[in-house]
Amino acid sequence: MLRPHHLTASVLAVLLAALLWALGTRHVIGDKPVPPLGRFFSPQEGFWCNATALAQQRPAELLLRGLSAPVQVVWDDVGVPHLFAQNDTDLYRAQGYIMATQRLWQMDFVARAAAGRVSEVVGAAAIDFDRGQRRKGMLIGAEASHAALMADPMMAPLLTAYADGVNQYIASLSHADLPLEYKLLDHRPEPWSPLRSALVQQYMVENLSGWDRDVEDTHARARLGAVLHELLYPARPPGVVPTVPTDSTWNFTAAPTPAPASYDPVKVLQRDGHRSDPTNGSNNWAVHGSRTANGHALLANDTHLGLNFPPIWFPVQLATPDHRVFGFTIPGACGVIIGHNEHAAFGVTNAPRDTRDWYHITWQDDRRLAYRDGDAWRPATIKVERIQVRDAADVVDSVRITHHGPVMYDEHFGDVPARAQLALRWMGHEPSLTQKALYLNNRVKSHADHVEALRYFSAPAQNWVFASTRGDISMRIQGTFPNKWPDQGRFILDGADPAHAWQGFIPFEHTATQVNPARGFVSSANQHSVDEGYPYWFYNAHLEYYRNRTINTTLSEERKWTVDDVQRLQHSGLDLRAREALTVLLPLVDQARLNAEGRSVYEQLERWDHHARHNGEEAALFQLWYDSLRVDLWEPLQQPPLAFGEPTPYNTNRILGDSTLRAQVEAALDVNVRAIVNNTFSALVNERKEQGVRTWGQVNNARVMHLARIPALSREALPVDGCGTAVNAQRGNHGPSQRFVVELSDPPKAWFQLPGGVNGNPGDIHYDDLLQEWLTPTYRPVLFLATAEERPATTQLTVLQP
Amino acid sequence: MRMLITIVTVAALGAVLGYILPFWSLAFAAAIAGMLVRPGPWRALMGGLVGGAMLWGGLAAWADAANTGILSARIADLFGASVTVLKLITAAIGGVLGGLGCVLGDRLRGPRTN
Repeated sequence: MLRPHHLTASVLAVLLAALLWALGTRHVIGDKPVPPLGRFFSPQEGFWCNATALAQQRPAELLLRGLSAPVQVVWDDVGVPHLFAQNDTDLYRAQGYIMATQRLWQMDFVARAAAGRVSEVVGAAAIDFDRGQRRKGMLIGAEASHAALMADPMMAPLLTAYADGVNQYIASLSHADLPLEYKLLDHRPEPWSPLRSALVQQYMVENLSGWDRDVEDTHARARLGAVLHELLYPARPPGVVPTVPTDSTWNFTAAPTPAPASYDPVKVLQRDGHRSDPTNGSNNWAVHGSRTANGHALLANDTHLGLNFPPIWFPVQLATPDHRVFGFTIPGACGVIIGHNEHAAFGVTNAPRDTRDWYHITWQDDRRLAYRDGDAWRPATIKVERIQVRDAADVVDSVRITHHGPVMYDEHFGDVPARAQLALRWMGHEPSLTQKALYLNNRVKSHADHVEALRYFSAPAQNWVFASTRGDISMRIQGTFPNKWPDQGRFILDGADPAHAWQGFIPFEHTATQVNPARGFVSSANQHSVDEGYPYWFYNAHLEYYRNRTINTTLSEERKWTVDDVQRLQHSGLDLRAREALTVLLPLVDQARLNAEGRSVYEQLERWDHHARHNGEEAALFQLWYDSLRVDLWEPLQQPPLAFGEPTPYNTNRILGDSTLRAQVEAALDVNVRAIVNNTFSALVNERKEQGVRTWGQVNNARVMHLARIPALSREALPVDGCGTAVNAQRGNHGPSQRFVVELSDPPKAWFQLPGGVNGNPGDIHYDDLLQEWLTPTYRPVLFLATAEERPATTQLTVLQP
Repeated sequence: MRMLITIVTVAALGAVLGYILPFWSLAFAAAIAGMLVRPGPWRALMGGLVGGAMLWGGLAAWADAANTGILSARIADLFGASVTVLKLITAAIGGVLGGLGCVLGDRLRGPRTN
C-alpha cells in the first residue's frame, strides 16, 4: 500500500539518481573538461588513491604468469629498477610489466598519439592533429616495422612477451589503481601489443626526422633566384666541421646517383604545417684513454628533447646470465637505447639528414583516382580513416596513397584554400628492425659487435658514439639513407617524373664512421654529418652550428680529461652564437647617439663573457635584441603567399659580418642593416626602461611540462643556465632530457641525470625527485649490480613469480 | 544514540562497499544503513551526512598525511583551490551521498510503528 513516506522516498530516489549521474559523468564546462567529480574525489577510487605513502614498502612478491623462472627486481633509492632474469623472454616480459607499473599512461598515450587517436580522449580539439598523423602515414610505417619484427624469429617472441607483461599489469588494475591521468581525462588504458611498441618507435622517428623546409625553399628559390637563395639559405656555409670529417680517402667505391638532366624544382604552393621541433638534437662524445687522467676512455651523451613529465627516458638495469646493461629506454621499447654493459658504452644524437621528401602529384581528373607516372596514369589507393571524436560524431577522411607515399596535403587538408597536392616520401614509412639493433647492441662485447648490431638500425638516423673497456672509441652515422643526386629532395619533386623518385639507398658498408681518430676524441651535436669529401650527397634543412664547435674546441684543449670535466662540459652555458653575433653587431651601433641607459646596456653586452646565466641579465638582453633584429632584417622574406622562414643565426652572423655580403643583401631585399641594428637596440633600451630589468631565467622560463600540458603537474621557472645554442641546450620547455657519463674502467662506472623522476605518478616521491640534481652538475652514480644479492641495504626487492 | 549508530553504520558499510564498488556505493551503503537503523528523516539526513563526510574526509586526510601532501598540492593547484578546500569538497560529496542515501533508506522503510 502506498504511504506518504513512499512519496518522499520516490522524490529522494529521483534526486539521488540525478546526483549520482552528475557526479559520475565527465562534463565540459566552457571548453574545460571536468572529470566525473564523484569518482575523482572518492578516497576509495579517485585521485586520493594515487597519493602513495612515502614510506612505501614495495611488494616482496608479485605474480607474473608466463615466466619460466622468478625475476628479481631491485629498486634503488631513487626508484630505478634493476631486473635480473634467467633468460631474454623472461627479461622482456618483466621489463614490460615493470615499465607499466611506472609509466603506463605515458606509453599508452604516446602510442595513441602516434596512431592519430588523441581525439578519442580529448575530443574535437585534436582532430587536426589526428588527421595529420594519419595523412603522414604514421601507421603505414609502424605496421611495416611491426610486420618485419614479427617475421623475425628472434624478436617476435620478445616483443610479444613485453606486451604480455604490460597487459598483465593492466589486467590487475581496478579503477582505484589507474594512473592519475586516466582519472583526470576519464579514459581507460588500452591493451598493449607489439604494434604499439612499433608505434612508439614511429613516434620517435617522427620526432627526429619530421622536419624539412622543402616547400619554403622551393618558393624561395623561384622568387629569389639560385644565387640569392644560396646566400640566404646555404646547404653548406663556410666554416663547418662535420661530425665525421674526411681524414683520408674512404675505403669503398661509391656509386652516387647522377642528377637527371630534366631536373627543375616544382613551383607549387602549400605550407607544411605538421613538423616536429627542428631543434630536437643532442650532444655526445667519447675521449680516448690516451687523453684521460686515468687512461680509461670516457663517453658522454645528453639528448635534447621536449622536457616533460613523465620524462621521455626511463633509466633501468637489465640482466640475464649472458649480459647486464644499464641505460635509458623509452617506455614501449625492449632493452635500452643509451647505456653501458660490462664491455662498452654507447649513446646517440640525432643525425640530421634529409629522409623526408615531397612529391607533387598530377591527378588525371578531379576524382583523384589516378595520377601521372611517366607516360602512364597510375591508380591511387584510397585509405579511409575514421577518427573517433569524444562527445562528437566520427570524422571520416580519405587519404590517397601513391607509390611515393600518402598524399598528406590536398584541398581537404593543409592551407585553405589548398594550393598543391603533395605526397610524402619518408624513411619513416619503411620497415625498420631498429628494435633488433637495440637488442644486439645491449649485448656488444667489442666495436665489431657494435657495428654488426647497427646493421639493423635504419631509423631514426643517429650519430652513434661508442667506447669500450678495450679502449676503442668511435662515431658512426647510422640510418638507412636514400642515395640522392645533389639537391634531390631539397625542393619539391615532380611525382610524375620517374627520374625524381628515390633511386635506392647508400649501402651499409659506406656508412660514415670514425674509429680511434688521431685527435683522440669523437663528437657529434647535430651538425653536418660529413664534408664534401664523402662520396654521397649530404643535405639537411636544419643543422647545428654552435654546440658542436664549443665541444670540439674544449675537447681539443691540451689536458687530461676526468669525469668531472666531462660533466662540467655538459653543463656549459657558453653561447657561441651570442659571442659571434655581438662581435658583428656592437660595432654597428652608433655609440655617439646613445643616452646613459643605452650606454650602460651597450657596455654590459660588451663586457659579457657570453655565458647564459639564469640570474644574469646579459643573455636576456642579447636574446631579445637578436630576436627583434632578425625579425626586422628578414621581414622581406616573410611575405604572403608563403613565408620563406628566417635564415639561420649562423648565416645571419656570417652575412652581417661581411661588408660585401651585407651590401648584396641590403640591395636585394631593400633593407638598411645599420638602421635596423640601431633601431632595434634603441627599442631594447626603451623596453628595459619601461619594463625593468629581466633576467635570462625570466625570459627563458626553463620548465618541465606534463605531457598533457597540465600546469599543475609541471614545474616552471627552473633556475638553469644555458640556452638553445649552448652545450647545456636549455630553452624553455626543451633541453637535455637526460645526461649520461661513463668511464670505461672494468667494469664501467657511470653517472646520470634526469629532469624529473622514474615514476610517472604525480603523487609519488619519485615523480620529480631527480630534477634538483639536473639543475647543476650534481650527478648520481649508477648502481650497476652484478647480482640481485649484492644489493645495498637501502634498496628494496620484489620477486616476480611465475 | 540512534544518531551515533546511524553515523557509525553509514561509515562502516560505506567503507566496506567502497572497496568493492564504485563511488556511488556510499549512497547505497547509507540507504541500507537507513533501512536497518530507521533513525527518522532528520536523524537519517544528519547521521548519513556526518557518517559519509567523516568516511571520505577521514580517508582523504589519512592518504594525504601519508603522502605529506605531495599530490594534494598539485591537485589543489589544478582546481585553483587550497588543499583544505579539496578535503572539504571530498567530505562534502561524501556527506551528500551519505545523507541523501540514508534518508532514502529510512523513508523506504517508513516510520517505526511500535
